Amino acid sequence: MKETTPASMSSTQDGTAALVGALAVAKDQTSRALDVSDAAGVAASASQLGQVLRQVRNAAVGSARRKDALVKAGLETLLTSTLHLLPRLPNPTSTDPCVTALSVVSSLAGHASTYPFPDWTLDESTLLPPVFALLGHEDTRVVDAALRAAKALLTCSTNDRPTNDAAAGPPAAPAHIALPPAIASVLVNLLATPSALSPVPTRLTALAARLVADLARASILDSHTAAHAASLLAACVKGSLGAKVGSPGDREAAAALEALAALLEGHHARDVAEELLRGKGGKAALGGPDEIVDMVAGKVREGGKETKVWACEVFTLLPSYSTVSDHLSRRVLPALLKLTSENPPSIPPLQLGVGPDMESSRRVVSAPRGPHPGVTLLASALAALAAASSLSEPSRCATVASVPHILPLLIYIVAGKDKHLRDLDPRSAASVRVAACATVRSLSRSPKLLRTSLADANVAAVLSAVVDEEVGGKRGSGTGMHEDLVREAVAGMCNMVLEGKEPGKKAFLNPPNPLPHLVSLTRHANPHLRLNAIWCLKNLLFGADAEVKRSVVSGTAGSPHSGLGWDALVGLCGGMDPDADDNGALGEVSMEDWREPELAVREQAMNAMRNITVGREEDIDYLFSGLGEARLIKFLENHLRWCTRECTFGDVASSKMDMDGDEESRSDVRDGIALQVLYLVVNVAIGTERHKGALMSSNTILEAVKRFWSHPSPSHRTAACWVSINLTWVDDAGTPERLSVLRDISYPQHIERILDDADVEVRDKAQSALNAFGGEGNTTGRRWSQGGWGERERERESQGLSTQEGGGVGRTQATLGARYGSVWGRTGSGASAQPQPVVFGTLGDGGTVESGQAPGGGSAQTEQS
Amino acid sequence: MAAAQKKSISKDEWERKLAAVKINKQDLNKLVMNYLIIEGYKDAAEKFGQEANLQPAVELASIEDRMTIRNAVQRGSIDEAIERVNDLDPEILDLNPKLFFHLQQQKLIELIRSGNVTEAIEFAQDELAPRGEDNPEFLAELERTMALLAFDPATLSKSPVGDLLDHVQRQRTASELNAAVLVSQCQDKDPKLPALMRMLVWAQGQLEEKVQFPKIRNLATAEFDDDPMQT
Repeated sequence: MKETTPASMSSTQDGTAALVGALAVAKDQTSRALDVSDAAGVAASASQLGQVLRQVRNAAVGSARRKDALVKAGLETLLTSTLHLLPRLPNPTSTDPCVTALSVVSSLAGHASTYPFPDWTLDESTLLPPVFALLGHEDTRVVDAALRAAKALLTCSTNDRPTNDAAAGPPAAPAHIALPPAIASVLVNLLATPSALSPVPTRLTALAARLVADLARASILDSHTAAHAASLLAACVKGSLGAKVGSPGDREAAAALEALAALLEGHHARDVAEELLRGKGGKAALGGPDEIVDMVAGKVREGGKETKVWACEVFTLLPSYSTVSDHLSRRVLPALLKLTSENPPSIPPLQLGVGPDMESSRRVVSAPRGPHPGVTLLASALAALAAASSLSEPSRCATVASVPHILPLLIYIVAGKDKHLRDLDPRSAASVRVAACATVRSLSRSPKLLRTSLADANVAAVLSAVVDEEVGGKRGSGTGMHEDLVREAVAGMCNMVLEGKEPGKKAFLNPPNPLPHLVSLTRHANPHLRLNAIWCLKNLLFGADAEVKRSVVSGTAGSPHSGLGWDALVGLCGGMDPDADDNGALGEVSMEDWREPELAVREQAMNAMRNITVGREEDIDYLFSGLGEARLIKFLENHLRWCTRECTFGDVASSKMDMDGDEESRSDVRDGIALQVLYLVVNVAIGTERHKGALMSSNTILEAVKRFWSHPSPSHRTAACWVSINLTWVDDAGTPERLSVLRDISYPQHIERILDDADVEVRDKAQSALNAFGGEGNTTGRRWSQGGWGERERERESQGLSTQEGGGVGRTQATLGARYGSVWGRTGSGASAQPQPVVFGTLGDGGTVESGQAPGGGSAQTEQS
Repeated sequence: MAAAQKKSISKDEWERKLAAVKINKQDLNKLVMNYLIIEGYKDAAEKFGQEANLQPAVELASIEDRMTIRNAVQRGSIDEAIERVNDLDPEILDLNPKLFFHLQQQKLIELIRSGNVTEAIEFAQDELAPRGEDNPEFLAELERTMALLAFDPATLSKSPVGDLLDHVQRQRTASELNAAVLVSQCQDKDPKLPALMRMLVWAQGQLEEKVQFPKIRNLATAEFDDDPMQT
């Protein structure tokens, strides 16, 4: 019985070379016997081949060194040709060598961290094609081994390459690679629910689902395959409802949910969601959004740990598709809250994870540095909670109301002081904190909660402390800071500073004053951080008094920290002359262009500029003196020219980022910026004769404003009317003169054209603007006089935070983490609880709460749906 | 006295309460089946399944594979065990370097036991030494095993490292391998029954702090203590 394997177990380098040599001989013999149709020869040589393969496998398993030696001796090429040869062997001889050869492939590829596998391709000379081909084998053991081998090959080439910087994300497959349709269909068929016709064992379905997940992450599935796979996977999950924790059905559900999550994140995410929620020709795979929601909610409730993690993941991805109704949060929220409260971080990790849930434990074994499954589950549950809370005001209130201690728990996690959290590896600790922060951010979208629970819990101070610790504090100059965490914390602050009235805003600047950190973040290399920081500053400036404004821009007297600075602000707006920067190439801005985030930053910076000028004449003076009158006018001229270039509005359809870094649906990137510039002009036009005079001195500005009367967006047309109204106010000394100048450049004719505008606001303001030209100045519309500033304040008050219902569910997708594939790696997440881009712009999705004010006012929005 | 103020529950009342708890017979059967499967009693599981009308949750063939592997280790046929584990799922040893080391350590012990000193030294040099370089935590165990060579074979079992030759060492390695195979088959690696026993003892301890009640002290007979009302 002893020594079933010959001396091959002794394994010097020579031994490995000899093994590879023996394999080559056996393969050649088999090949020759096949060529001459020598049945006896085939049987003998095939059995010899099988034996050598087993020796190779036994040598390779468990020893990274030996794997290296085997590959150096040329095993990879040999394996490829062997795998091409084996299917030609007559059954049943071929099965065993096939399984063994495939397990050698898995074993070699599984150790990619020590063995640099070449970039995988579907080139015939590489291992993947013959491995894929064996997926269609009739013997399930071969299919099983082929699935494992294919997964190992994909994993080693996409995920775990040592040279691959995790932060850079997994490399996508080269664009020209696509899974051959025949293989795709074989693979997808493995996902079909077992039936009399296709009795695919659950184990294979689970393996196939995980392979589909990998293929989706490597972006090599075509959209048809992705959609088809998604509907089958959904059916798998549905079929597993009621499966017990740890049962094969539960494991299959976990794999299916993982694959669904990967598909919902992949290149064909929209097709997949379409298929799941509506189905082709209106017939959804599962009978509609409600059913899929029930299914996911069921899995969040009843599954094993891993199932729950992936169900949460799928859930965080679903809200970005507007078909999913409020039903989603209603059904899933209770389960999530339960999950979160059942997994507080202060339970020692040992107790958290050790349980009957073997699949999770196994994952830990295979990912030695990965975080604990309990921690991952907590992070996933929090991320899903963030997504659920972002859906609607009722769901936010429900989150806080249903679990009394949820806020303290969130704050506790966000603060990161928990001993057990600190004992975890930094990545998993950060993932939990990021997810908790994202939930806080989601909750902070609610004006009601901001005034009550969140204010009581002093959440703003907690977020400030996080930013202080990460950006400044012990970490020094921001090196090694956790960017996702800071991003979420700053995003949460955005909503909080917006709510703060005057005293609130000043309190925000109390120690730990995050202002210097926010200012330094506007210069950070990460565009998402820049964007969130300037967004937050913009909201801080909104409705702020002169003191706060000066703190933000010029810095506080006596404080070592300087403010943002006028030059830096101009820089963030795109510089004095955006054309010089763009080289006139904006029309060619592609989706991948680095300038995309820059444009979003630019819009926010311009909005900040606009918010500075809201208030009293001194505020406009502040801008004039800070920037210099001549520079300001040049700045406005250049930016208006840039915004109106080519004059055909809306043709430069491109996209920009929202705070999650998700691209907004196609909207004219210039429109948003243009509106801010326009309102900056409106604000300046409210000012003194000197301010108005400066505008009137620039023909470029006056001509540019004219063009906005033909702008497709009513907001822009209205804004242009406000410029005219403010310049021609009846009480002002210089109005008659200005009226004559504006008449000469045919303002009245342009305004007349929009008197029958489809938009009632535009009509109203156009009429007001036109009235001025008929009489001696404007007497209708908004009245203000020297003493009228207070009125304006009241007007703004009264408009308050009016809710505008936007189109459908907000863009609340939780962006998932850097690393593909594994829940362990998820870092960033969170619902975009964000101040959305400008209200007057074209809003892709998501309703907004417009912190509206009179035209001429600043703008700052917090998103709501 | 605090103890005197504790509420007491008589044996009769306790038994009445226990009788009121409905326990599904089928659940009990499943517990037994779970124990038989995980501990690898294939024939017993098969018979019990027939009698209790219970379908085992796993294929009985998988128990057989597992038991063959376990027996191979207990017999000292480590190469055979490795071969069979690899047949079952090469990932098991690929992903558990510690387990693989323990198997090879066991192989070294078997070589020394059978007096193949030259082969033992070669094996240690070729296989175990590089492994120890990669994982320094294995070195201490390796050194301890190599110390076996320093003693006279006749008195080896009485030496300070003699415990390595003990059957317990094989048993330990076999159990570790068995657990890894179970995990790879996505089964529990520990039967539920002992955990329930531990929970019972713990729960009794907790309750004892508040209430006097008839306790089960002897888990083998599951008999109650004397009635607290009468003591």
